[in-house]
Amino acid sequence: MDSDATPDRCGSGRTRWLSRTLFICVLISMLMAVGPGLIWVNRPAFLFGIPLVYAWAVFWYFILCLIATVAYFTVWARAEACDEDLPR
Amino acid sequence: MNSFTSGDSSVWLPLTVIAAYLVGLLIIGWLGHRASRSGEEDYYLAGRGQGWMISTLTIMATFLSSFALLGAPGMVYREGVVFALVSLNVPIAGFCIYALGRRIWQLGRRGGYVTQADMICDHYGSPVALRILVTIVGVLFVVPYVMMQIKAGGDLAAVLFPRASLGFEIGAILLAIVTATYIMVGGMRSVAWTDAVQCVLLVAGMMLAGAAMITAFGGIGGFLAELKALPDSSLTAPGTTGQWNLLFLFTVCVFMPIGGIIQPAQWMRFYAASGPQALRRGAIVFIVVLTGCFLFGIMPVGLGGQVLYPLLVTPNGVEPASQVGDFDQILLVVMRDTAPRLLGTTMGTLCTTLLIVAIMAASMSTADSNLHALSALLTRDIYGAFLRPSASAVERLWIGRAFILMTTIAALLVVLVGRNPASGLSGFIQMIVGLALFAVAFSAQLLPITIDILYLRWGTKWGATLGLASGLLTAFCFTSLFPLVFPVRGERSWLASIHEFIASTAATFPMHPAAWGMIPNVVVFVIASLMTRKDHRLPLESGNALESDGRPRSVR
Repeated sequence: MDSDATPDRCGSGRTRWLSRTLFICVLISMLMAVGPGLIWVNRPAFLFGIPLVYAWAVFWYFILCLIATVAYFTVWARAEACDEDLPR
Repeated sequence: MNSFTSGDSSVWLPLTVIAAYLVGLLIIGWLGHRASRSGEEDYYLAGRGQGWMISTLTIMATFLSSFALLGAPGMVYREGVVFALVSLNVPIAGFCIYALGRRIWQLGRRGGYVTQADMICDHYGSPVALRILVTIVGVLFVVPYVMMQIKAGGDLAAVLFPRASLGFEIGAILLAIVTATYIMVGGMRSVAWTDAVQCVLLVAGMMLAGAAMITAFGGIGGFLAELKALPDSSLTAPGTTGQWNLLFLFTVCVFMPIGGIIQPAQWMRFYAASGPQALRRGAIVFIVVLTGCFLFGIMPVGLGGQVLYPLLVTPNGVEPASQVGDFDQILLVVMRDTAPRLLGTTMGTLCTTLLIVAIMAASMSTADSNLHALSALLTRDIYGAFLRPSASAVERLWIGRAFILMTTIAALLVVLVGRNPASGLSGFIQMIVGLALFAVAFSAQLLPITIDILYLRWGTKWGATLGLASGLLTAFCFTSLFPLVFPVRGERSWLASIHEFIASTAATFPMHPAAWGMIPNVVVFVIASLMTRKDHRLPLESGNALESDGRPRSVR
């Protein structure tokens, strides 16, 4: 690990910003999916033949998967690079 | 029902497949035993060398229990579409695997910890009070979870052999015996290896169940068209019985995954991982695959069940159709009735049998992990720490095996007693989801301590001890077990006042008991820590400190 890359890879600067942004995205997703946001769609309606509440859950599942994928390739991957220096 | 009681293949096929599965598990357990080395670290943590594939599968298998294949379809059948939203608790658990698991792995590696209490007590410098409290959390989590799995074994047998008068009892006893045997023989390596096989089976089972249900309606179009006939209460929150209001739904989705991830068995899996890469990969697979299985595999089963076997609305509330018998049995009943019709007797029975094996896999993989973790807790944190500190490693291993046996027998007895409708426990163990929600109410109380150890390093031992104690006590008061343990005797007693207060508070703010416990837990933790700051051990002094980014302060 070169010294120039260390601060960003190990939890400062852009990584930290991204980490916090993703955390806030997860929080908002949960508030929308199973929190107050649910009130918007909580009616016995159908979207393309699928119960609206069911479709709502599936939509937020994809959003959460997207957030996890971004975290996997960015924040988590960089943190893991730092972990390589830990004693095993 | 007839599919299992008439025709040759419908009788010998399930018995042969299930027998082969059980024998296979015992063989894997024995192979795990052969591969193990002597010592507690190997028995409890598989030598801290589990690769990402085994780690991922064992974490998933431990998380997914009979809740996934029996409890969740049963709850969807009872409540309707609202339970799809509960599936979104799974991604939260996945995020926790990485956010919490990685740091637990780091500290565990550095401190040489084996159990959850090892790390917590070492961090706070509280060898007695916290160790006992953490062990109590472990017991309160593990016992109901093991009961769930044993109940699932009974439910399976009850549907599989409807003419057997003791079908439920035999199924429950058989599942308990096989599970306890291979854990006692092999330890963590056996548990993880069998978990890996079981995880593949249960994920396949979840998707197979959904596919079978949709096929039964002639495809996705036919399935969705039938859903339009469901009553409004089945298509919206709070569901058919009105239980899943917004506050309850939100608190369950937040605290259930957290409680499921920081429970003793998962905590030990984080220690056992070979590195953070295993947890990173495990987390992403967990989020994408497991949530998908719930939404696209399990949901269609429960919703289709409502169409095929309409619920009965009685003065006592909502009840399953007479053909179903028990909400938790809906998946089995659907498969039993539709698979042979769609696929022919032999293929249909084979398909149903594979699903039954998947349910057994789900049940046994969770029961084994939890029993194994509980044996570590009781052996190291109680027996080794207080009763016989001079005990040798071999003695502790045998005591651990004895604890596994005793816990299994105790859980089995409660399930068998609770099976009797006249028993006071019958309501408590009525639904698998109910037992799961009860268990996580306690394990979730470890959250403030966990966050503090891994990220903040601010609290004191008094803050941690008093906070956890108050959280556990409050959470217990809001569970369905409280009125059973402390029944009201006389209308004017102080206990009656407490019951009344709890009932009115829970009715006003219908949150999950974990959320109720979390309020005093956090408040007491903060206040007690502020008042006892002088006692606080600096992380560096404890020898297990991490920097803010999770790296150790000093390298040995």
